[in-house]
Amino acid sequence: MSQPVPGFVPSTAPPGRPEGQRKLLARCWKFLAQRWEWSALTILAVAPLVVPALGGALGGQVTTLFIYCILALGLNVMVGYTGLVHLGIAAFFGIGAYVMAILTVPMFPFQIGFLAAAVISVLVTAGVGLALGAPTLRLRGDYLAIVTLGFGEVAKVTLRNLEQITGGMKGLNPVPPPGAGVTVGGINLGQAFAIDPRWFYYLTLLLLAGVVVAMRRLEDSRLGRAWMAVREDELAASAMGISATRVKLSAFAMSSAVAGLAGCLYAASLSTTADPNAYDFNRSIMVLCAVILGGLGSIPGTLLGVALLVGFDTVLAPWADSWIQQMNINPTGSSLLSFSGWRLAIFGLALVLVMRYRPEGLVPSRRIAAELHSAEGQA
Amino acid sequence: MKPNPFAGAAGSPLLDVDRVTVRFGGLVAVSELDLDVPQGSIVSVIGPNGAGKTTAFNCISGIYPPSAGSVRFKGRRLERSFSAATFARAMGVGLLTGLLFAAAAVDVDRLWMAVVKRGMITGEPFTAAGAMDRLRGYFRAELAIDQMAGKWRVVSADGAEVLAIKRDLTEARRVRDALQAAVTARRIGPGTVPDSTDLATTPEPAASAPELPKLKEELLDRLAAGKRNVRWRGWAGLLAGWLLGTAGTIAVWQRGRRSPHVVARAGISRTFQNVRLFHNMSVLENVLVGLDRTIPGGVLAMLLRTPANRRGEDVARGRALEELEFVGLTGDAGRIAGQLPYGDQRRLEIARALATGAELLLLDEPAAGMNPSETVQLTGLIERIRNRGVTVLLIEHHMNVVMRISDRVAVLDHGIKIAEGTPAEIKRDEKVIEAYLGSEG
Amino acid sequence: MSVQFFLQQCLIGLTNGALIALVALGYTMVYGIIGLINFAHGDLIMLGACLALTLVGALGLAAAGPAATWMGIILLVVLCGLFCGGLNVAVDRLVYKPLRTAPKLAPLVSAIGVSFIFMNVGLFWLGPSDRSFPELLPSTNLLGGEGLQVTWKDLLVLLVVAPLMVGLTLLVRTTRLGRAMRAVCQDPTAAALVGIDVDRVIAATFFIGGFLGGAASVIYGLYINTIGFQMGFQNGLYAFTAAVLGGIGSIPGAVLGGVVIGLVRALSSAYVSERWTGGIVFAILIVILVFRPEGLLGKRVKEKV
Repeated sequence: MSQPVPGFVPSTAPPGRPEGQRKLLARCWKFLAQRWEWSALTILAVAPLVVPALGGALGGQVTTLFIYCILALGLNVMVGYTGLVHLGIAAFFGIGAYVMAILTVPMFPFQIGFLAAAVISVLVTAGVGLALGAPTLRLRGDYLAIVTLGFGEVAKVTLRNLEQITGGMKGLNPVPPPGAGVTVGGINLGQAFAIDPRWFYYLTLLLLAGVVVAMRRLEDSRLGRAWMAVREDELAASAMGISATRVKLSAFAMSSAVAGLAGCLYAASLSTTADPNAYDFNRSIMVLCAVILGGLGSIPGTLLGVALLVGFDTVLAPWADSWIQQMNINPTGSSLLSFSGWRLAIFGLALVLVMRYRPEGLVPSRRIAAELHSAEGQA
Repeated sequence: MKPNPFAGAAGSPLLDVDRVTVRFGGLVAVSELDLDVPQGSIVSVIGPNGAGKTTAFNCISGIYPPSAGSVRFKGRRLERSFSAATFARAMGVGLLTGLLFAAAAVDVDRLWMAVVKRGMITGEPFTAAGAMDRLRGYFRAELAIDQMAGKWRVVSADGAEVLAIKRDLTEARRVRDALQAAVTARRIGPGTVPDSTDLATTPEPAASAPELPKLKEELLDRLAAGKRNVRWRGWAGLLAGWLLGTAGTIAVWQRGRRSPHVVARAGISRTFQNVRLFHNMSVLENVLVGLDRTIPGGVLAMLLRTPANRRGEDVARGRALEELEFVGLTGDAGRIAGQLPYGDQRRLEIARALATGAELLLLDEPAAGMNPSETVQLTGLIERIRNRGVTVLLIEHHMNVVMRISDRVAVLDHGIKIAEGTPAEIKRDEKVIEAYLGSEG
Repeated sequence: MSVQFFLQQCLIGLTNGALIALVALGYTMVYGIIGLINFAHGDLIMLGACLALTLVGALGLAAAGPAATWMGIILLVVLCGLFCGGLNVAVDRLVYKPLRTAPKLAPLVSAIGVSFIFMNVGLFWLGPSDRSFPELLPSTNLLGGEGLQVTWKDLLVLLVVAPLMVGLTLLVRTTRLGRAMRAVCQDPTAAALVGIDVDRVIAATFFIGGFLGGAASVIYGLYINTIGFQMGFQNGLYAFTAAVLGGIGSIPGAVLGGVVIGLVRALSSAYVSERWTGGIVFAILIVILVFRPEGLLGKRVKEKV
């Protein structure tokens, strides 16, 4: 990662800046902003070798976390970079998972390999995104929220109703692990994936890293700038020769494609698509919350947001519930006194408070770098 | 006034506004406006507030469509024409929508079962030819065989009707053939014209006919009608979807014919009265947005950072810095646009507009909110822009700016052009003094 | 597939549509005035239905005579209306008002947050499973005979919805408040300049939208007879679709959109399949938005430059 942080152009800073703490701080921030991926990647890559628990159920949970991170990064393209509200990302997640399953389960005659199936499901989800976006993206921005919400519902119901294709409420299974039947260097890859969750851990980590790199590159490319220009001021962008519709469409397709990738990883790692209700509004909202909480348009923010929310759901809430039970505070078992009973309200309150007091999220994307930089320039 | 090297260039004007009227409901904002902007000149539009100046600008830059009249740039109307590509897109979208509708109409779920799953059930290897056969079978509503609980069943094509259950597959096949013959016979009975598919699939009645289940007349009728039914639904779906898709594409194209980006790509760029920068992007990025069309490569090139893409980025960056230098913002390239002082934001907007490679620049009150020294700088900047060969159309309230640099001045009042001429002529014009300057004394 | 069956489905569609329209009005008014998709509106109505259920129990309406029942229903409509209106205004004050100048995303996301909080409250109020709402009205056929079925319930919907809509139209057309609302709709800054208290007008809009929603919640309970903490989401989705379909910001548009959606739902449930109703409604929404992006009765909005 040697390219500069977007919004920061080192060669053009005014000469003769005073040296000082601020600069040091800015340096530290710059280093973190540029290198956090490497530090995080190293830690995560070494972890399974050091922490034996990752070879067990925990490994599977962390894999799911990575998959949600990919999904959230996909949503971030749409919501964060382009400023379009998307309330149906789970539908694309689901379509990715189902395409993966249809192409690989033994119930159907296709049974192609993981890689080809993944590529096809990414293409299919991107195509569905284009097909949905083309007629609707020309509309005023906030109509889109309702179109995506409606599409999310319709997709869920369709997945449930097309029983011959999707298995209805049973879903499709078993989705074979990647590399089933392929032997490399004496290791049967399929079996290895099936037995040791660390294989999946590394696969998803690798793909997550790939998506992060891709997002970084897009942020600092023609397309990324166009996305942000449309977010900042659609009319001004189109007066600069940018076709706002095309730009939004590309963001929609990119979002859908990344969500599809996350979906097919999800199906493969669970070896089932689960039932269509796994791809409902709640999941869309959870991912949206993660992106907003972490910081719109910010890659580290998005990842942090997912970690916090999934952590809340799978770690903190069960822990607090068991604590409440241990302390015998809630002898009648009333849901008012259980932590998970307040899950929705806590999510809701978090959204309201973040929007009120910190709309840029926990790790804002460019503003901090910008503010630090301008402080530097003005000092 | 400096001599203008471009003035009096031969040929048609760069921009030709021809009797443009813009109405909002009952309100006429601009009425029959005629305006010529010759290449290489600076033309100003002045007039009291609410005279329709900005509306005229919005109309030229494609934000509002004119209610009547036309705007020509370099002799061309600034509208997307109905090209072969538009036609192809409409057809393609129509076909896709049609297929989607047809899939829904013929029940894609059962189609899938018939084409994909039935082959698995009868143990045939999945080949393209086999799938095509079953697909054809579905649309001919041919009886088929599938399996349930270890027994073979003869079913209608969509699997909705079970006609017979047999232990043995060959037996089931023979029953199927015989029943199919009965159904086909019913179909090509008196009053209906057989088509080739019926004749082709009518098997010879087997010599040793298996014991046939007695089918009710009504069921036989239904099965016989199945083919016409599924085909009718398929075609109707295809046609309806195709019509909707094509019409929708054309409707959308029609609405987007005159969009600001079409105008901008033709070579007209503008600034806004209330500065509209991309506030959370850096100054350099703001300018780069205008240059984005010059960078080659699609998404894949951007992801892989191909050399061509990287070179394009570098060239664009260089040009963006040149534009920043031109307006005097070199030192601020890395700052966030929203944090610039107001006057600098205006200049950045000009740099952004110039970066698009515009031949005509529309400046909407560029001196608004500027102090006198900034205004002087701006006047110089506009002259330098003209000297680069970029034609300027200007809305401005600062009379000293207008009078100093304009080659021609047009005066608007209540949407009507009341005068046009050189600054000196305008200063003397009775009507202008009355309508505009008159109010000041 | 007789004519009578068709008419019966149309009647179902019409009554459902009237109910949807009542909810859609809440969306369209708030959108018209501050450009916010009030996501929490559906869940507000769910809370109204909770209150209605509680009140029915507290007042003992299930066992009351016909006269008392009708009085009770009117009381319920007023109380739930006031409750939802008040709650809506409170949410506006607490949540949306500080975000008036924020980017558009902020109030929208806050509204989603509020909807979640409401849903959680509803979860505690009703419990996780659906609750049945007592049948207060006899389901005898008013027309008599075996033909077309028109029950008191159908009549109730029209009896409550029609006056509310007429009242709303009169309010917006003729009163000072209505004029102020239309002015704020057009241009809040200019309205403030001519001395209109914009915040009060917005609060009034939220109150009226909430009041209509509260009334809708009572009728919903009486008509559908099942309420649950998740009903807000589904109904909100349909109602918002209706508002968009009719042209968001337009009051007659919301009514028309509601009736269209109600009819489409009823007819597609009857003639295609209940399972695909949602898909059909959605497809129609997209088709209409392609050909008329401003909705059936909406006006094309020009962006201010």
